[in-house]
Amino acid sequence: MPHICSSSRRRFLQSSIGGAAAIGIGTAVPACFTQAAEHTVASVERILIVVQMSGGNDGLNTVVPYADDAYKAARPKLGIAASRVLKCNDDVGLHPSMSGLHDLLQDGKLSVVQAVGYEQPNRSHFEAMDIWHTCRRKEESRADGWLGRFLDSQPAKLGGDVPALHLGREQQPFAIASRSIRVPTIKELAEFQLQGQDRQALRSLLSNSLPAVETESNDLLNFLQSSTTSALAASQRVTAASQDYRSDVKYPETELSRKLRVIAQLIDAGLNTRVYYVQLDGFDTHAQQAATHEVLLREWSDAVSALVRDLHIQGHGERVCVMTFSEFGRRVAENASEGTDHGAAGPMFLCGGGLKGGIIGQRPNLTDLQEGDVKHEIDFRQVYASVIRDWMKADPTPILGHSYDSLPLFA
Amino acid sequence: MNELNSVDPKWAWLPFEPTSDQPWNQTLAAHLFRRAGFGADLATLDVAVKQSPAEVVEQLVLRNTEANDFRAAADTLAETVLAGGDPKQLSAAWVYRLLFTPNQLLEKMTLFWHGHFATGAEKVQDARMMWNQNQFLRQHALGDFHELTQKISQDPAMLVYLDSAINRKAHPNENFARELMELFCLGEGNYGEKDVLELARCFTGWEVKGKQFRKNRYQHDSEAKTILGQSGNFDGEDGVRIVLEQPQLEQFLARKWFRFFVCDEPQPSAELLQPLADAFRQHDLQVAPALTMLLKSNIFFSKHALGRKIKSPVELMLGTLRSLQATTNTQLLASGLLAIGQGLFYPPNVKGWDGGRTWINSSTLLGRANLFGKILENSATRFDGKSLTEALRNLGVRTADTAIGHFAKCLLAVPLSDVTKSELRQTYQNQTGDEEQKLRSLLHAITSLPQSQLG
Amino acid sequence: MNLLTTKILWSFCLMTNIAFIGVCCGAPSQKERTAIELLPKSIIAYAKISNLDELTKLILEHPLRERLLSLPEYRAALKSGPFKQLQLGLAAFEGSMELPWDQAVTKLTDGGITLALDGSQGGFVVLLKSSDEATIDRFRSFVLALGQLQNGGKAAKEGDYRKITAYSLSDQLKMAQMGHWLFLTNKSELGKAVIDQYLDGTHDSLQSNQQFQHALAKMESVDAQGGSLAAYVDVAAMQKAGIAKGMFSEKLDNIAAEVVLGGILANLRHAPYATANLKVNVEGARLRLVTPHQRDWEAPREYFFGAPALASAPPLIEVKERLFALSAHRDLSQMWLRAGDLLTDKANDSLAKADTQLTTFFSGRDFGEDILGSLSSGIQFVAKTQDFTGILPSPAIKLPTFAIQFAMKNPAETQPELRRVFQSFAGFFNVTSGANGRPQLDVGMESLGKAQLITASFVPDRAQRDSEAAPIFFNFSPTLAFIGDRVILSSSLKLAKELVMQEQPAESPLQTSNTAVTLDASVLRTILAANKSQLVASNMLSKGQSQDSAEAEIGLLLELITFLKDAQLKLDTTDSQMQLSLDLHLGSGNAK
Repeated sequence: MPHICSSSRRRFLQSSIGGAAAIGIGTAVPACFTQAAEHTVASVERILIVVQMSGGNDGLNTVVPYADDAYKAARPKLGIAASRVLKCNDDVGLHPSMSGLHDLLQDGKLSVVQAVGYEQPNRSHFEAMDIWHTCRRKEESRADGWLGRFLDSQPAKLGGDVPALHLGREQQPFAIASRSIRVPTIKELAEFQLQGQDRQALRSLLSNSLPAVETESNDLLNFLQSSTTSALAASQRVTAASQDYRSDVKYPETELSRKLRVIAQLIDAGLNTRVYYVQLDGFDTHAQQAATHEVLLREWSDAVSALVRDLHIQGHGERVCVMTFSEFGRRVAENASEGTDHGAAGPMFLCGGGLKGGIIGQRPNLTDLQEGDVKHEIDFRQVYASVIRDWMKADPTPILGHSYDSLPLFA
Repeated sequence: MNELNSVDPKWAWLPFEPTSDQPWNQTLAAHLFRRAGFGADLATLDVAVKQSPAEVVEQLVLRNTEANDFRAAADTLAETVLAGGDPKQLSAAWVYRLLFTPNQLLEKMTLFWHGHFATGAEKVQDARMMWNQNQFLRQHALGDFHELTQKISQDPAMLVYLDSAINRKAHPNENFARELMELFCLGEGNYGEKDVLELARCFTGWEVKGKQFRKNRYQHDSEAKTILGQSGNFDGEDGVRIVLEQPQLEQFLARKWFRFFVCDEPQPSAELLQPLADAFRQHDLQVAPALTMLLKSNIFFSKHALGRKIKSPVELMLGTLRSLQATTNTQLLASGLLAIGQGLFYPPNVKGWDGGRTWINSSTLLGRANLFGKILENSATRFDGKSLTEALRNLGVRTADTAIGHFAKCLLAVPLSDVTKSELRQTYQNQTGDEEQKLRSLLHAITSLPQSQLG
Repeated sequence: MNLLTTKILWSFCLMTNIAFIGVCCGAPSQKERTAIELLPKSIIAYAKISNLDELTKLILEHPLRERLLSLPEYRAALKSGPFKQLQLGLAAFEGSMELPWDQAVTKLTDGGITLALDGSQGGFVVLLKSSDEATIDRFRSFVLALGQLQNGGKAAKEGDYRKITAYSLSDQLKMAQMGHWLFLTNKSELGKAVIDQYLDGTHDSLQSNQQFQHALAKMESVDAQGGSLAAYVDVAAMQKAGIAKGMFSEKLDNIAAEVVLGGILANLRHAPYATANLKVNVEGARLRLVTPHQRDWEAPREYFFGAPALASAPPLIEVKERLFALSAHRDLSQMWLRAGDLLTDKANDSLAKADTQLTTFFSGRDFGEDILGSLSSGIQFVAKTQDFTGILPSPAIKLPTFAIQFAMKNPAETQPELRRVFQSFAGFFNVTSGANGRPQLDVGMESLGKAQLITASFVPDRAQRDSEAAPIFFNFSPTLAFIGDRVILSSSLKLAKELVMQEQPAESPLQTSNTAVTLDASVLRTILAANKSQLVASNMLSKGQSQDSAEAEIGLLLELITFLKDAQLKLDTTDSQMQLSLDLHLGSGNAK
């Protein structure tokens, strides 16, 4: 796939390191510098961004079966009227506040997978979330998460960019816990840059004092020097990306949106990070669901659609996929407090370029329920397997523990 | 690099005798203090150089087995901090201890055991339990490995961390049994899956109730078991004893100590490690004699060891501060250490910290430089209670060149090239601000160099 | 002949007229001008400092200064860079003025110091008036010398305007002396205006600004005792000029700010001006901020003040060893329901999310309408020290206990509701306690006279039962108490019982006050002293210093607090004005 050179990348190449490598002026360029420059340009790796909705998102009011009488019967107060939904097909429509994602759907950039769950669903927040994170039930040993195992399976590239990042103030999700790789949690872009009053001086000192070739007999020192070069290059790229970052897309002023914008900047800076993880909390709507759910879905939909559009404009649209999930859906029938209680199966969402797009799976059967909850049609590990095999191009079986068939999610 | 494994194992472990080619000087003394502890200031090095290496090592080991005033004060601080119940504050209290302790080797070994018998506060959540484990590790850090292992297998924090707070006769919990053999004592390949199951049966009935350890005899499987070739009605303590009797144990630990004290890479061969392993077993698994042998050895002071380890975050930050007699905001430091990969009381998983090259990636390198920047910009950072300018002046350092030389002597394990030195000089001159700011920037620059990450 | 006589007579009249006018506008009357007459009409902020000598006397003679001087750290700090420069400056000042600095300052400013900000060009001016012209002269030369030093030896540029010499000390600072007056300004136009006023007399000066005169009349007169500052701000002009936009926004971002300050900020949006009066003397300080007020300015925040009639706050709760008390009139239910009008969209979104959580907690009762709506608008809050003697386990960190008290509109209905809510909170807390290693709550019911109390106390582990260093939870024994129409939610059973037994005054002494707050510093000191080891440990960790140094620092902090006795804050609203008063009383500094 040809790599589209974004404007910020071009600028970077024209500036310091990369420029010298390309034009070959000035003093002999250190080997480690050229390696770093090549590395930047060649970054065509696919990226997965995981958005976790914590609390149990009410899938039935997100992907609304507006034509189903059983739906209207079960939700006299909370049901979304057919006139208000953003129709996807004759069966389902999206919640009215999800205009951003509806537009993505029209452009073939959204795939909705319906009724995703697993056998013997667990309705406890912690237990259910652990199952989604590790693909293991309580009785089995849970040492690491599915993404952690994926990272372990990738060839180790010590000294370079971190392979995965978690953005936010929350505790790190189990999904990215790995046996051998430490995934950092960052709160803001500045943690990727040299800080301090004397950072300019420090940067030039470090760049200037790194030797031309690997002179040392001490392997470790060589390793440290090349790692420092990479770190400086990464910091430079991130600074350039954040300062020069101009997007025509207006990101909303919410916390989730801010995090996704940071991710967009990091991707544009050419970081070799392949997995990004963010969380959005508040979906546990036992009472007075209507107003809160609307606010949350709007926040999520606007942020994710802004990100996807922005990445497309910057030229990274085809290699980034945003996957959204929640630890369970909610009960079909509304409760007495105008809310809903913990349920089982729910929808998953994939956004980005490179998707087949559309609504996948059957509309949930609201007459054949399992203890009042939607039965799952698709095992969530199938979705994981599809992502790992078809998107990240790795073997999912050792990661998930079993062999699962792929779903037709990706183009 | 095959050079390491072509070293004569016998020669490697003989005590180092200074020669004219390799004199006992400040460089070697600094290396000893860096590895056996976190670092020493020039005054301490001066005293050490006047003694023999063997004497210095013996003092390091000996003084760490005595109680003293500092320990009492540090313990009181930890107790006070525990009232708030926050493990992160406990982290800061340990950093405080590391900053001020006269017992460097003891703390270094406690840190080693903390990574070896890894237990994380984010899962245990109880600061008191974490602290009890830490104190216990400190008590036995240079003592008897039998004690250490027997007691840790009954430590509430450890059992909670390994999901082994319950162990029922009907479904023996394999977790602790596996980690005991794989991570704590023998290493993979030195036991079979059957051994894990049988050992798990030994621990049935061992549980943690109300944050205390207890043996529930109704849940204990008292039938016969066969572990690693031995049979009998073993209970948990027997199980641990059997594991400790395995001959692979001493090699396993010797390898770990080699990596921790001597060099990150390459991997030493079993032959090279055998004398150290034998010594450990011959001393009935006492840690102190084995460490004394290691720290006095030829290989420890050889070119295979000097500057051949990447400093861990704790070694880097605390080493730098101690070598310059500096003190700082320990809470800032504790949270900074977590951010760059070594949060005290927060190991990433049960394997602890792998160390070596895994400390380094673009995020942690920037993190190291930024943490130094934050500490040096913080007003609480004092050098021997004074400003950096004053502290240096008292040591006779008044110019940029002497400052560079001074810092290099105190902090670095490998020499600086002339190019680097002139770059540093240039940086100092171009820096705006008063003398104090300029000197702190210079120090920031030196600690961010790749050479500084080597210990 | 007639023509000549007429000419001579006419010139004579003219000359006498000139002479007469000259007498009127001559030097003696120039001396008597006030600062107000010298300032142009377009001033939007004005402040006058008087009795500076009292203030300097206070600083020099206060026992606090003596105490600080006895500290080696303070003396060392005085030797450090910036302080040394200050002392050099002071020595130079004393040299120029030929007097010790406090006397010099007194003499220099015995006619008052005035600061003003001009609206038309954003210029500021500082005016000094002295009874002794020579003093002004010497000060002028001092400032010129200082300016020369700063400028690297270059003397200040001189200019002449209407025979008054003006000096340009820097691009931004100009100075001129007019007899007994000296002023500094940053805009030369403003300087010229002042000089014009000085020489020509009453043109359009601040004196003729009606609004200013109105405000001036309202400002309290200057007392003989204590240094004081009187200020005036033309709020409407500031709003127009776009200064401090945040304060004037229609909707607020922060929910807490809305509850605490909403009404005040609403008033500022409409008030034409505001005045401030600050008095400092050896007993303490007193600040009064006043703006006019009209009832029709309040909407949509009338519930802050009381609707339909202005409401007053309930009395401040009095208890022994009281640390802090707050009393306010806030119709929280109406504020919650009208949040759409009061808060920005972003804040409303957070409120919607919170509503869901709260309604879940409150077992489906709508938080805004049912819970808040069942309470009257008077809120009383009190905090005091807790006495742990004889109580085991006692916590290592000793927190004060606090309580909040409301009146219920319909006690018979509300009481069982709130009781159920309390019980479900305790239950929910207990369910999650196990997982998080917290002790559990034991819920019970008690009667005390006519009062009913629902109690919850933490249950210690067997091992912890006799501990004197128990976890922080053991500061709390949450209690919900009902007596008559009062409902009290307290963090401790003891305080709940104390409040329940209190006689309620028939009428609130706070007649016009909408909000009142009081803080007792000696109790604060007691609480901090009880937790000294915690403070020392925290200091050791955050400064990385030895226990001795940490103890010395904390000891000093505790001593410094003894110099403060108490503080009070009140917000009074009438149909015509709104006044915020802050009173600070200083103590004698006896370390107990």
